[in-house]
This record gives sequence, C-alpha cells and structure tokens, in this order.
Amino acid sequence: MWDLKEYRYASSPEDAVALLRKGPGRGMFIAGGTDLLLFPPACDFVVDVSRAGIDRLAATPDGDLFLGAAATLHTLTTDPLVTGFAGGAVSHAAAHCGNRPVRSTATLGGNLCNALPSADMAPVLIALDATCYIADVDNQESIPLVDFFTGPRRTVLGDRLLVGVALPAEAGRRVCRSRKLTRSAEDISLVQVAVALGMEGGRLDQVRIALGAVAPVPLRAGLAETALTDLDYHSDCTAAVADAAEIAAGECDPISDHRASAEYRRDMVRVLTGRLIAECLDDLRRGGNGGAA
Amino acid sequence: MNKVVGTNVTKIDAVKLARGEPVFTDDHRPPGMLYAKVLRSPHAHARILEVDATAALAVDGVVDVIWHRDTRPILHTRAGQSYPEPSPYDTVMMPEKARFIGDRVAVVAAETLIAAERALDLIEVKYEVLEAVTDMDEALRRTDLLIHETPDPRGISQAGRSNLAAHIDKQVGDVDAALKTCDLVVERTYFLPKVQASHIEPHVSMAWVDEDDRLIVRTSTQIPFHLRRMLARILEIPEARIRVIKPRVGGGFGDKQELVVEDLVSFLALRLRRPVRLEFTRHEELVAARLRHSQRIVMTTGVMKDGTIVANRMHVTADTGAYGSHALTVQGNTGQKVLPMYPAKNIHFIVDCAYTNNPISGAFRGYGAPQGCFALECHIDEVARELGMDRLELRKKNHIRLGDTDPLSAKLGEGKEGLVRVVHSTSLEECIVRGCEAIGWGDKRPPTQPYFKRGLGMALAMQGSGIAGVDWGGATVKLNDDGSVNLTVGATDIGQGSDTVLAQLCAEELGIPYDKVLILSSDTDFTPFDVGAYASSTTYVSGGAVVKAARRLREQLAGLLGTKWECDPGDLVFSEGSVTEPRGRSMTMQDVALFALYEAKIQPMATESHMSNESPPPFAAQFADVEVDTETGQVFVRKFVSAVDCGTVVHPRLAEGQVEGAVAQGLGYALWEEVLVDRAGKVLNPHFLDYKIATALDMPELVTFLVETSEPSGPYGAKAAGEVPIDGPAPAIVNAICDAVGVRCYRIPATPERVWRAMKEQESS
Repeated sequence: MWDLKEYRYASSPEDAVALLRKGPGRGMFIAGGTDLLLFPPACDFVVDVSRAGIDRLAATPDGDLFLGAAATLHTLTTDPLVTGFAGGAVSHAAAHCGNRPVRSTATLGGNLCNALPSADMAPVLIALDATCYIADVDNQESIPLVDFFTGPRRTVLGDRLLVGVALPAEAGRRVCRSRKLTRSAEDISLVQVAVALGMEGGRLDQVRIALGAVAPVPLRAGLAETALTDLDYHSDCTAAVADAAEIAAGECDPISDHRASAEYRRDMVRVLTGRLIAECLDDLRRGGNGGAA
Repeated sequence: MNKVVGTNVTKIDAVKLARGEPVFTDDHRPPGMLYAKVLRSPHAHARILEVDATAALAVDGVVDVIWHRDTRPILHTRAGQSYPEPSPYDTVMMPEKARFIGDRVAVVAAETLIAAERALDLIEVKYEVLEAVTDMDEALRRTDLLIHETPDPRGISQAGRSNLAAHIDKQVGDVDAALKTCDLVVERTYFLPKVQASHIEPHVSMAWVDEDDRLIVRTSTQIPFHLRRMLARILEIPEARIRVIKPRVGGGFGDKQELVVEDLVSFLALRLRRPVRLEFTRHEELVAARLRHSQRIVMTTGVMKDGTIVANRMHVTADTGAYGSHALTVQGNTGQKVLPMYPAKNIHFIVDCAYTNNPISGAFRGYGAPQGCFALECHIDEVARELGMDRLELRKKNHIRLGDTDPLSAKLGEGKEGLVRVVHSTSLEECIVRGCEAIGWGDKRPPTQPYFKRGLGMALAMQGSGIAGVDWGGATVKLNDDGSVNLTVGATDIGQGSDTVLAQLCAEELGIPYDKVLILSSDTDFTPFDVGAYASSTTYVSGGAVVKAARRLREQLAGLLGTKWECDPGDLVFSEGSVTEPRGRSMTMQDVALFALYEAKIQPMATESHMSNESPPPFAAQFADVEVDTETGQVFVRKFVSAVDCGTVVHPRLAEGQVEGAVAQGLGYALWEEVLVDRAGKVLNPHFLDYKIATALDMPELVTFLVETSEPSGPYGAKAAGEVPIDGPAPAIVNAICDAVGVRCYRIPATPERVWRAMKEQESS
C-alpha cells in the first residue's frame, strides 16, 4: 500500500519544480499515475502536473508539432494534429500502449520520464527527430529526445520537469511506421522498432531507424540508417532492405530475461526493421504517407 | 405449460451486482476490524528458528504478531474435499519450516493496512537455511532431503520417507504385451506449465466472535461446509461454534476450493476478540495461492494400420510444490477424465507426484484434465501423422460412444473406489460435425499476410458431472403466504450462476414463475450441507437435490388439495403458478399457501439430499483457426469453435458463458500463461505485467454450440458445463500451429519465442 503523506498540485512547470524541491522528504511528479500505481515508489509526497498547463498540443505556422507532456495517450491517438503528422505514426504508437482505460489517463510525459527501455512512445518520436523541452524553476532547456535517456529508468531530468516534445515540420512529411512485438495483445514490448524515411529527388534522405527494448535506452540504428541513405527507392530494394535490417540487428544490445532471450530479440529487430522499411518504401512509391498500419 | 428450464431468465444476482451493492466479502466492515498481513519466507527451504517482533509491535497501530510458537501444530490438509479427504495431512497453520518462497512465517494484525505492512518490514527472523529442491525429478530421487519429515498420518503421501506426494499405477489389459502386437507405436513427451486461476476477486476473508461467543467467518470460498469442518479441526473448537457465510464471490475456478486465509483470520479473531480481515494482493495470488500442477506427460500409443488404438499409456510426473493439496486427485483426473475418450482395450496410467520447494499447486478448473487432454489430443495428431491417416478420421474411429463403458472408471475413483461409468448420453458425434462445419475443416482460409501461415486444429474432451458416489448436496424448499418459496442450498454460487440455475429447476418443478423463488446460498447456519462448487457438480448434483425437494413439497400440497377436493393427488397439475384438478377446479399458489398455512395449519416444506453414483461425462469438440507469423513465431487465433454436450441446457446464456470463459482461460494456457519459477524457487513474474492472461483484445471470434442431450440421471436431463470446455483450447490451438507451420510445440505456453525456436530447429534439421 502506498503510504503517501501529501498530494500537491502544480499550477505551472516552474511551480512544479519548486514544489518538488521544497520537501520535506522525497517527492515524485505524477501525471496520469498509471506507472506510479503499478509499482508505488517510496516517496513522501507527489506533485501533480496535470494542472500545470502542459497538456496542450499545438502546431506552429511552419508546421512544427508540439506535444505537451501531460497530454494523454488517448489524445495522441485521436487529435487531428497528431493523426495528420507523418501519416499518423505517433497516433498509431500511442494506440498500442496499454488499453483504452490506461490510455485515457496515462500521459506522453509519463511514458518517456519513466524511461523504461521499452517505453512505447520513444522509438517513433526519436525517428521523427523529437526535441524535449525541460523546465527548471527559472529557465527551459531543449535537447534531442535520443539524448534524454541515460539508462533503464534514468533520464537527464534530475529534479526538473519534462514540459513536452517538439517534432520538426520536415519530419511530418516523412513516411513513418512503428511496430511493437508483444506476447499477448496487451503487453510490454519485447521489441519495438520505428522507421521514418524522407526523400529527396527519388532517393532516400533523412533515414531514421529507432529501436526500443533492445538496449538500456531507446537508440538509433545509425549504421543501418547510413546503409539506406541515398537509396533509389524506385529500384528493387529487396537486398538493401535485408542488409539494413541485418545491420540494425547488429546495432542493438538486448538482454535475456524472462520475457525473451537476447537472441530472439535481436532477430526480431531484423524482422521488424525489414518489414517496416519495406512497408515505408511501398508508402513512398505510392506517393507519400500510407499511414501507419 | 410452465417453462423455465431452457430459458434465459435474468441472472438472479444481476441487478445488485450491476448496481454495485455491497455484496462481496470485503464490502463489509465490522466495527473495530483489524487488518492482517502475512510475512512470507524469502527462502525456499528454511527452519524458522526465532521470530523477534519487538520492533514490529512498537509500530503505532500494530496489535499482534503471531508465529509458530503461538499456534499448535495440528496436521491437516487445506484441500476442500469430502471427509476423509484424499489429500495428505501435511500442513499446519504456522509451519516450523518454510517449504517454499512465500510460506507463512508470521502474521501481523494491525489497526490499518499501512501499519501492518510497515510491521512486516520490522519483524526479525532467524532462519536456518536448508538445501532446497525445486526440480521434481531430483525431488523424487532424493530421500536424504525430505520436504516433509513428519509422516502423513493417513498414508496418502510418503511424507517422512520420500518426497512422493502421490502415486498411481492402474492398468486395464496389458499395455506392454499389446504394444508388441501393434503396427505402429508412437511415444512423445509433453510439458505443462504452472498457471494461476487469476480470479478477479482475490482470496479475502474476515472473521469475528459474536455475542454468543461463536466464530463468524465471512469468506470468498467455494466450500463453506468443508471449511467449517476444517476450521474446527485446526482451531480445536466444535463445528457448532463456527458459522461460515459465503457472500457473492468474484470467481474461484478451484483456487477457492481450498482453505487459504480463513484459518488465520479465525485464529486471530478468537485470540484478539476483534474482527480480523485478510486479503491477498495479486502478488500473493501468484506466489502463495494455488497453481495448476505442472506436469511432464509421456504418451505411448500403439495402433493398427487401420487406425484402431490398441494400447495407450500415460505416464505423468507432476510437481505439487510444497504441500500436497489435491495432489492425488488432480493427477488422478489427468488420466481418469481423459484416457476414456479413446477406450482402448489396454490402458496404463501412472502418476508420480513430487513434493518440491516450489509454490503450492492445487485445484484449478479442469482439475488435471487440461494437462491430460493437451497430451492426449496433441498425441492423437502425432499418431495420425505417423500413421498417414487423417486426424479427424482417427478420432472418429476410436472415440467413446453411447453405451460404451469407461474402461478406467472401475479402477480409479476420486477418494472412493471407482464406480463403473457407462455413457448414457452423448452428442459428441454431432458436436464434431457441427464444429467442423463452423470452422471450415478441410477448407482452410488463406493467410492474411505473406509471412503468415494458417492452420486448423481440433481436440475432443470429456469431463465428469460431480464425483461419483462422493459429491452430494441438500436443498430445502419452504412455501410462503404469497406462493413464493424460499430455496436454501449449500451449493455455492461463485459467479458461475448456480443460484439462477437452481432457482430455475425449483420453479420448473413447482410450476411457479422463476421470480417466485427466493434462493439463499450458502450459510452453514441456515442452509443444508453441500460439498461446494467444484468438480462440475452443482447443476447435476445439487440440482438433483433441488428437484427432489421441490417435488416433495409439491407432493405435500397435492396431498392437502387431494383431501380438500376429494381427488387423486397424482392427478393435480402444477403449472404457471396454479394447481388444477381434472374437473377444472383451480387454485393459485398463493391461495394454496394461505389454505395450508391458515386452514390446514401446516408449513409446507421439504428437505432432500442428492448423491449420484454416476458422473456422466459432458463432451466437447473444439476447433481453432490460427495464423502463425513465420518470422516472429506469434500466434493469432482467428476463430475458435466449441460444440459442447452438457445434457439439457438449463440456462443457455449462462452455459455459453461457461464455455466462452473457459475458452479464454484455455487460450491463455495455450499461448501465454506460465508462472515462471527459477531454480531457487522464486516466482519471476508475480504480476499481470508479465503473467499474461487473455484480455478482450486477444479474443478471437467465438462460436459456441450447445448440442443438447438428455442425461437420464440428471435433473431435467442436465449434465455439467463448467470444466469440459477448458480442456480443448490448448491442444486445438497447438495442433493448429502444427498444421500451419509443421512444428509441434510439446511445451506450452506456445509463446512467440518458443514457436520461433521450434521453427528454427526444424529449418536446421
């Protein structure tokens, strides 16, 4: 049972950080609470950030997309700003987190800040070059999401607050697909892969392959990305896709645990990466974003 | 004509459940109630030398801490079975030696749950850690390392001599000799995991001492009457001082056919003279409740070229864990309820069930049959493949038919010498036909992705309806002024809907509307005895008592009216709430009641008991249509068809619900569920994050047929429905996987990685 002494509401990101630092004892941020309630932490108080004004979704005039950290996963699955960005790839990933009741309360920020290697939202956002905005009491900092995670359940945050992530307009024009391999339908990822492909004059450009649950942190398969860059996607790409998938499998660093063996996870990186690249190429050939099935 | 049986009347508790009325055990809060929590052993095998609760008792709100020095070591079994229980007496309330990670070490009672939990962290325990044995084969070999040193006073287990918890060796004919005469002998080994029932409502009980110095136990149980008897033994007080109340129950599936928490709340309530409540967390359910026994089954089958099965041997090695609850009878059922499906002339059934330092196994829906059915029905596919015969034809050629004798029944009983079982009702042949039609047998649909392959699989299953010659129940029917009746039964509604079904049988027999039956179950002070909700017995056995009691009440009324109307009581017709005599005179049941109560001045009332020396098998033919991802090993069940013969269907929707719920549990058994225990005896996945049960998102299209028969020995022809449909899903799905990708998963659950590995092994061989 969770022996919580105090529940505080923050009115702004800065207020949230201040309330967390105020003590006494150890505090935690809470947004949707779905992860905290699963394994209640030893903490004396929580700071609720759901009223801190960080739940909004917004698009800039140039088409950059901002996703507030306290936006629920359900909002991400349904909001037109998100469903219309990169073929709805972010919405698709959000729709495969937990179940409907969980998605109604779980937040994007919670999923990222909990920093499980298997965080469902990380690969797709990394593939779309997401930038994180982090609030301190008197300033904000931004860093690439791929640099946000420092280890299992560890991030760069310290006692600061994730305000949200921004996706550049250019990424919204990529074709992007993500997939999560699970045991039963409602499950933590055994392996998660996201692929995003940009194009420039009939050739692949801005290739992104992001992997989840196969290393201490979500990561990009840089060598596989390089192998695909400049590929003429109207040619027969079968061999190139297989090679890139093989390279990606070599770039991950999975563990063996009771969910799956490292050997299986590595092979699944190959399988899913290959499938997703092939599907994205089909989308490109069909003239753009085929959506994220 | 009055017709209640066979209709979808409103489930008797539906409204209050939908309204969220306070009907479950934990909805009640006696004033001054304390919360109990159990300190569990971190060691798989260790003597508990000393418990120092000084710091724990200093926590604000902590009232008491008990351990084995505070209790008397009364040997008993926690299995809820008829007396004398066919399970070893190997358990005491608070053991001096922990036998698995999770065994009871100490119990805290506190004013709040938080105080109780905090106290657990502060209890200091001195253990003498012993070598643990978690491998069942090693446990069976080792006589130098005894998990139970005290002999079982009744000799059911070999406690004190070895780690053999149960042993069976029964043979019909001569299998070894017969195998030599066969054209083909196929031997395979199958492996079954430990799984947990995962009922929504956890184990929860509360107890208090009332103003008459009686112990009142309010508990979520399947066995209120056995519980009263077991508590009397453990607490050394007479049964007369104990009252067990069973409120609504949020699922049991066999896991509550066991005393799991009731002894602790009762002991503390008597000791502290305050109400005490104990509820398991999900973590505790997965480490310290009961699991389905893990088994290794070697099947050896001899057949002739024409497909005749001549000899069948099933050798089961099972792990009962730290205690032997249901060890003998669950393993007995693995063969008894399964092998008769193909009644060969030569059948040999062997069981070796080991004590280990693993979590405890016990009763779980199907009670051994799901394990046996998996092995047998996979094996039939293997035999067919080796024989070059169609697997459906092989089944049709050999399966048990109307009038056939169950060859094993005379040799094997459940705690009682076996009674010969003859099939007096079956629609198995029609079940097969309708199932094949619905699944599209022989007409496989194409896969939906280029990297998928599609396959079909089937399995046949049979179970029992109660335990022949053992299970029985009582029922009392009492007429009220307005023509309504009180029906009191010891039969235990645990969510499956037995109160509804029993009320229907009562209404049908009395010719009154269903809503005129007020049913009460179960309260040991007020209702007649019943063994409880297990062994698929309630409709068949307890229903028999209800029908008999209602019939006798009707006879009492007929006698009264026959005198009044000067007619033959046998000519009176009870229907639609009235009684009519041949010349046309008629009275409503209300007028009959007023006449009886105020003119004749008698209370029309009857109590009857029912026991059956038969346990007619319900049958099921189940079919799976699956797609297998050839690269990831993921299995997607697209459609699942169950055709079930449960005799007369009393309530079609509830019966279908039984089938569909069983299919969901069977689906989890086939593909995902496994309580993973490491070599040290520690459960690796004690939460739903990693113990994966099927959810709504996993469910395939379900098609369910109830192919009715009329069982001569059953109430209105009814048989059982609750267990048989959980037997077939795992073999049907695994057979379908094999049909799709050509690899056999000898071990379930067939997780993606296991299927992937099997496919890789096949590729490389």
